[in-house]
Amino acid sequence: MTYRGPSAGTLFLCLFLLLIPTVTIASDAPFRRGDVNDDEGVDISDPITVLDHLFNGSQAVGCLDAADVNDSGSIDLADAIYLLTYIFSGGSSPPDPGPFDCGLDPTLDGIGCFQSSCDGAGDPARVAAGHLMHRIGYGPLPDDVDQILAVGIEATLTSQLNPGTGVEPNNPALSDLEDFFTSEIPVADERFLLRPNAPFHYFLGFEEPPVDWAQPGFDDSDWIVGKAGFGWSDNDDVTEIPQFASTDLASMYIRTEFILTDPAVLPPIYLKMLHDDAFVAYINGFEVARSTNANGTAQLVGNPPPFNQYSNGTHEAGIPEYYPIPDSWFQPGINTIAIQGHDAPNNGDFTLDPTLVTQMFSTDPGRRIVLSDGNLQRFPFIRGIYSTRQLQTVLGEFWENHFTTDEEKLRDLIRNARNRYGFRILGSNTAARMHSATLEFEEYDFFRNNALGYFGDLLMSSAASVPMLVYLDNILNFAAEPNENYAREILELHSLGVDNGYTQTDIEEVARVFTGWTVTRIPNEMIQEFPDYVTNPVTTGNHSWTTTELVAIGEDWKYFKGTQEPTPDVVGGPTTAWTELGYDDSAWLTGPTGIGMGDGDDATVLTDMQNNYISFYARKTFTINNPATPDRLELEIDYDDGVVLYLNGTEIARSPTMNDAPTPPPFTAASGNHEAVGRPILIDLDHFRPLMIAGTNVLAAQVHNVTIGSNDTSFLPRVTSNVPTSRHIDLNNRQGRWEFLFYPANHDTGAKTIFEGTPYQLDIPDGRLGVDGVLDGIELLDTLAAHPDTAEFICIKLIQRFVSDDISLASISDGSAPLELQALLADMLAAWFSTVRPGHIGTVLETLLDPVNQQGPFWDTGNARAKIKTPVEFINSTLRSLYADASSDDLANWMKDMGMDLFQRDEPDGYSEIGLDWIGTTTLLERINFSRRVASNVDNDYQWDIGNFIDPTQGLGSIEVVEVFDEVLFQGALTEAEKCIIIDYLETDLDGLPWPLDPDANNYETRIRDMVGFMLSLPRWQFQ
Amino acid sequence: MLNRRDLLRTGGLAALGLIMPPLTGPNFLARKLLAGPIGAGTGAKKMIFIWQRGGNDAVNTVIPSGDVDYSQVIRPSLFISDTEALDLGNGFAQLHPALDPLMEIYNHTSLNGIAGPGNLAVLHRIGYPEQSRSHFSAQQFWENGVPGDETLDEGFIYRRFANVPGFPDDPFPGAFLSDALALSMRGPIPMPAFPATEDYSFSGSLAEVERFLGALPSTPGGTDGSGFYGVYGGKPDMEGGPYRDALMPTGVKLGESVSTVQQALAQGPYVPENGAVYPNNTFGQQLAEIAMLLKRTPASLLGVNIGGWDTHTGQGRITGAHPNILDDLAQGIQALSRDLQDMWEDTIVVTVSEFGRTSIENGSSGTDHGAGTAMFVAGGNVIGGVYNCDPSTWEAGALFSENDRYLAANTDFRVVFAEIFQQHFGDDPATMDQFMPGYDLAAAQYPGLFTQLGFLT
Repeated sequence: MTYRGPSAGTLFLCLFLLLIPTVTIASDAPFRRGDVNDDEGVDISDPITVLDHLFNGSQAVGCLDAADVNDSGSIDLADAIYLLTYIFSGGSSPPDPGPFDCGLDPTLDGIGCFQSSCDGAGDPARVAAGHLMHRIGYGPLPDDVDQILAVGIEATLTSQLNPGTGVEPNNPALSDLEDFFTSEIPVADERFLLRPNAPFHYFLGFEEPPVDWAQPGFDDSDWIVGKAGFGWSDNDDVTEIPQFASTDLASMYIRTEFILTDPAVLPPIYLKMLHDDAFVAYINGFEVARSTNANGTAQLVGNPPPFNQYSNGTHEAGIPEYYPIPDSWFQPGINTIAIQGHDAPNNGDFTLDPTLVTQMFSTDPGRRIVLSDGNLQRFPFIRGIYSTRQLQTVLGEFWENHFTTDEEKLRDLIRNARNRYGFRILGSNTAARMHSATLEFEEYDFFRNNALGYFGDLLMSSAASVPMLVYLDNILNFAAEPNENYAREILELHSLGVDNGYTQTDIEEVARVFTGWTVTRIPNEMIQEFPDYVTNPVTTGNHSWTTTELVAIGEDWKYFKGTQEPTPDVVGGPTTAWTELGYDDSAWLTGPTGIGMGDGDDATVLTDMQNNYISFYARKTFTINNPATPDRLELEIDYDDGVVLYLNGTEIARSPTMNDAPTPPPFTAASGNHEAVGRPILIDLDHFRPLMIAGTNVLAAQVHNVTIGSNDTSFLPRVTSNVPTSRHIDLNNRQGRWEFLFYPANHDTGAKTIFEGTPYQLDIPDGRLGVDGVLDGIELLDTLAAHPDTAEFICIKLIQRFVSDDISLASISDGSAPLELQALLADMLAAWFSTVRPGHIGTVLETLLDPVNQQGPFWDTGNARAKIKTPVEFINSTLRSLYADASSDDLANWMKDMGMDLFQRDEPDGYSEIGLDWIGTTTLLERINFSRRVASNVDNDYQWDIGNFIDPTQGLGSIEVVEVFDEVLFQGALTEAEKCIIIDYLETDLDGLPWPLDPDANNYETRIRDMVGFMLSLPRWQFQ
Repeated sequence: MLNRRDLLRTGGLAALGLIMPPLTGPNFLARKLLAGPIGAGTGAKKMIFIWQRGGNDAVNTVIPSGDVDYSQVIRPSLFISDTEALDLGNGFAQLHPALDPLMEIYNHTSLNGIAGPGNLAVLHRIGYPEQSRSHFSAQQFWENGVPGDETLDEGFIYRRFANVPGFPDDPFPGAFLSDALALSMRGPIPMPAFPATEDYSFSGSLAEVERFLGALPSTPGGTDGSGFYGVYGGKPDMEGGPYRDALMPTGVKLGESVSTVQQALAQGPYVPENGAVYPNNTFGQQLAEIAMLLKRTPASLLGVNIGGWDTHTGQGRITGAHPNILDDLAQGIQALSRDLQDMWEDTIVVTVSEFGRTSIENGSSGTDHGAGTAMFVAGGNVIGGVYNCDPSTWEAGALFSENDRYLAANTDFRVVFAEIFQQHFGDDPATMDQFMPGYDLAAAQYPGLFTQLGFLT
C-alpha cells in the first residue's frame, strides 16, 4: 500500500464546489489580508505566493481575498508590490481586515475567500453563548443558543446560580429517567418471624418426596438438617449443595417449623426470599407463593411440580424479594413452612434462602435506592444531558470528583459484613452493590444539591460520609492505632492542597482528631438531616438490647463424667436419652459453671479428667413461660475443645470442632482443638422455639477434649432473653441505613495542636469525653474551611474548571500564573471571605462569572476553546449537541475506555482538570470511535433524529449540510480549511473518487451522519 | 447480544494489517526511514519499565534479615523470618518468598544453558533528597526526573529518548500499556498509550478506515490533506491555541501507531517463547504484549503499570495482597527474561515505585508512606547481585534513618537511570543534566547519593 498524498482532485473538488454561484456565502470567509499562504503571518513567502499564482499558475492560493492585498477586486502584480513595499519599505498596511486579524472583506467584489484558517463568520454572540454552555454546562442543546440570546446572558447566569432544590419542575425527560434508574424501598417496621439462617430439614430431588412432605405432620426426621441459605456456586450459600453442579439434580425440598402468637393481630406477613431459580412455598401444607419469570410467565407447572422439573427460565438471587402471604394461612402456635426449589437446566448456580417477616408500613416517603453501580454511573449522564440546572450539575460532578470515593471498596466491605451469628448479611455482590451504589448516590446527590452552597458543608458531609470513612480507611483509625490515610488526604487533596501549609506533624495530629470516626447501621427512626448526624452523632453500635439471664454463668448444672455412656443403647452405643426433658439426672453430680479444668476459668474443676476421660455431660433446666413471646433468645457458649448442644432432646448446635464426630458422639469421641478465649459463639435460640414448651425446658451438652491427655477444658454456657432497644437494628433488616458513627471508646482524648505556630493554630484540649470528642473533628473542619490556603486551593481548582488550565498552586506561589488569572483569584478569595460564614461557592462563582458586566478572564475570548473536554464532558456535550437519547448504560463503559471511571476511581486525587492529562492516543481513539458511533445511529441506546436539523425534502447539498452542522456543533465557527476537508470527506467515496451528495439518494441520511461523525472527530470538538 | 467491544473488534480485525502502513507512509516532519533504522538510534537497545504505583514496601520486598531491628517487634503481623525468605547469598539481604520466580534470573545469566553470574540487580534504598510522601508529588518527581518540581509535566525518560535522532517522530517508537501515557514518557511529541493492542483500532471496515484516515497534507500544517490525517496533520482550529501542539500530533501518532500495532497483530496469535508464562491477569497480558511488540515492531521503549502497592491495611505477610502482587511482578519479569532471550543482551527491564513504606507496621496490619525504596534491574548485561543491602551499606538503625520512621535513601534514582543511560544506551555523561535538569548540581551537592552502583557492564 502506498501513501495516498493530496491529489490534485482534492483541492480542485473543494474549489470547484465553492465557486459555484449558489454558494457565494461560503466564499465570504474571514481572512487576513496579505497572508496569502495562510500561515498566520505576512512575510516574504506571501508575495512569492502571489507571483507564483500569477506566473506559474499555482493553485496554492485558497483565499483570493487575502491575495488581493490592495483590495482592488482583482489579483495582479500590484498586490505583490504592495506587499513587498509593506514588508521591506515601511509601506502602508493592507486594508481591512489587515494582516493580523481575521475578518470579512468589507468590499463587495468578484472574488472571495475559499480556504482560510480563520474561524468562520459565526455570529460572535452565538459563539459566546456556545462557549458559556460549554463551561457552565455540558455544551448547548440544539436550542440553547437561541434561548440564551433571547433571555440574555445575565438572566441565564442568574438562574443557573440560583437553581432551586428538589425535583426540577417541568422536566419529564429528566425525572422519568431518574425514576426509571432508581427504585424505592417503602419505609416500614420490619420484624422477623422466621429469622435468617434458620435450620431446615432438606431432601434432594433425585426422586419424588413423599406426597405429604409439605404437611405439618410429616415426619422429616430422616431428612438432613442444614442452615439456610441452600445452594451452590454464587457465594451466598451457608449449606452448599454441590449436586446442582455435579449431577442433573433439578430440585430440593426444605421444611422447618416456627412459632407465632396470633397471626391475625400481626402486621402484613411476607416471605422474604432469595431464590435461584424457581420455587413453590407452602405454609401448613398449602401453597402460598410461587415464583414466576419477570414477564409473568410460569417457571414451574403442576401442583406440586414434580421433582425432575427444571425451572423454565432463570432467576438470579440478589436482592431479597417480598411475597405477601395473607395471615389466614397461619395459625397461632407452631406453623410449618415447606419450600421446593428448582434449578434451571444446565445451570450450576442455585439459591434457596427464605425468611419470614412482618412489615408495618409508614406513611413516610420511601427511600430512593440505586440498585447497581451501573445505574449509579448513569447519573452524571442523565443529569448532565437533561438537567436544566447545568451549572449545578457540573459542580455536583466537580465536588464528587474533588471528594472522590470508590464504590467498589465500599461494596467489598458491605459484602463481607457479617451478622451477630457470623453469617454474611448479603450473600452476593448484587445485594452489596445496592447498598454501596445507594450510599455513593446519596453522597453525590448531597454534593449536587449543595454545589453552590458553603464549602464547609461539603467538607463536613464528606468527612462524615460512609463512602469516605471507608474509602480512606478512617474506620480503621483508632486511638491506640491511628491510621493517617484520611488525615493526609483531607489536607492534601480536600482542603489546603499538596504541601500547602501543613506538616507531617499536622497529619499525625489530624489522624488523632478523627480517631473514632467510623460507620454503623441505624434504624429509620434515628436518621437525621445534615449536619445533625455529624454534630449530634450516633455514638453506639447497632447491637443494643436489654438482657435478662435465663441461665447465668455460675449457676449449678448437673454433670456426668464421660467415663462411660450416660444412656447407652443395648449394645453400649450412645443415645440422646440423657438429653430428654424427662431424664432423671438426680444421680449426676452438681456444680456451678464454668465446668472444666486447667485454664483458670472453671468454678467446677474436673481434677481427674486429664488422662482419665475425654468428655463430660451436663444438663440444666430453665423456665420459659411462653415459647411464642417476641423477645430474642440467645445461647452464648465458650468452650474447650468441643461441644454438642441439645434442647429438650434435640441437637441444636455443635461446635465446628465436633463436625467430624458421629451423631450422637460417643463418650470416647475426640474433638478438634479450640481454646476458650472469652469470645463465645452465639446461637440464635429463636430458631428453636418450636422445640420449647411453656414451663420447664432442659438444655443439655456434651463437652469433648481434643485428646484424653489434654490439660485443659472449658464449658461456659449462658442463656439470655433480650429485648431490643430503639437503637437496635438487625443487620439483616432491609430498613435503616449505614451512617456515620462517632465511637468515643476509639477516640483519642488527648490534647492536640494543629498548624502550630501559624495564625490558624487549633488547640484542642484533652479530656473531651463521650460524644464531646466529635467536637475535635468539627472544630478542625471549621478551621480548614476558614483557612485561606483552603480558599486558595479550591478557587484555583474552580478557575481550572471554568476558565483556564494556566493556573496551579505552584504558578500562584511563584507568581508565574497569568496576571489576569492572579487578579481573578484575588477577587474570588475576597468573595470567599465576603460572607459572614466564609466559603459560599455561589458567591465565589458569581465573581468568576461576572454575569452583570461579563468582564474578566471567563469572558476573554482567548480562554474560549482553550480547555480539553474530560470524558464525561466529551460524552455529554456530544449527546447534547445532537439531542441524542442518553439512557444507555454503555456510556459508563465508553467513559471508562476514555480513562474516566466516575465513582470507582482507585486513587484519591480525583480526575484531572488539566488538558494535558486528557490528550493521549487511547482517549482520543475512544472519543473518535464513540462520536462516529453516535453519529451513525447504529446503537439503539443513543439515537438522534436528523430531522431535528435537516428537512430531507429540502434537498440540501454538501455545503448547506456542512453549514447546518457547523452551526449546531460550533456555532458557525469552522474555518474554511476545516469545511473544505469535511466537504472533501463527504464527497469522496471508498475508492478516493469524487462522490457528489445526492439528496434524492437513499444513502443521503447515512452519508450526512457519517459526515457528522467526522465533524465530531475534529480536533476542535475536543475543546470546550 | 453483541456488545460494543465485539463490534469494535470485528471492525479492527477486518482492518488488520491493511490500514495505511506507516513505515512507507507519510514523510511528515521529515521522519523515520530518513533517520536510519527505525528506533535504532542507539542500536537495538531496548528498555522496559514497570511502574509499581502506590509505594512498595521495600523492607518486605528485599528483606534486610541481617538487621536486628527487622523483627516481630516492629512488624508483628508482617515479619518474615530468615527461614521463610529467599537467600541472596550475601549474608544480609533476602527476598520475599513470593519473589521466587526472580531467583531464576538472579542465578543464571540466561536460559540458553550457559551458567554464570546472574543478571538481576537488586537495588535497595533508592530515593532522592527530601523525599515527598505524597503519591502525587513523589510520582511526579520519579517521572519528570526533577525532584521538587511539581509542575514540570515532561518525563525524563521521554527526554532521554527524544534526544535519539529520529526516535520521537518514529510512527511507533514505543508505547505505554495503559489507557493514559505515564508522565515519564510524556513530552512535546506524543507517544502512544493503550491498555490492550486488540482494542487499539478504529471502527469500520478496511476501506472505511482508510477513507476515514485520509492523507496528511503535503507540508506540515497545510490545508491540502484529507480525512483524519488532514485535520490532525493540518491547520489547527486555533493557531497557537492551548494544547493544539499536543493534540494535533497525538492524532497523527494515533493513526500511525494504530496501523503499526494492527499490522503486528495481523502476524497471528502471539506465542511466548522459551517456556515463558505471563501472569494470568491484565498486568501479565500487558507484559506479553510488550514482548510481542518488541519482536514485531521497531518499538524500543515500553512501559506498564502494576497497581496495588499502597498497602495501608491488611498488607499480608507470606500470603495476601502484597505477596500476590510481588508474585505477579516476579512471574512477569521471569517471563520477560525467558521470552526475550533472543534480545536479552540488548534489553533492560527496570522497576520503579514512588517511595518505600514505614518500617514499623501500622495498626491496620499495613504500612504507611515512607522514603527509600527498592528497584529491580534485569537484562543481559546486568551484573547480578545485591546493592545497598549489606553490612557495609546498611548501618545500625537504618530502618529509622529518616524521620525515625523510614529507611533513608543511599542512592538517588537519577544515578540509577544515569547508569542505565550511559552503560546500556551509551549516552554521554554530559547529557544527564539535560535529561534530568538539576542533575549535575544535585550530584555535586550529594556525592554519596550520586555514586553509580556499578550494576551494568
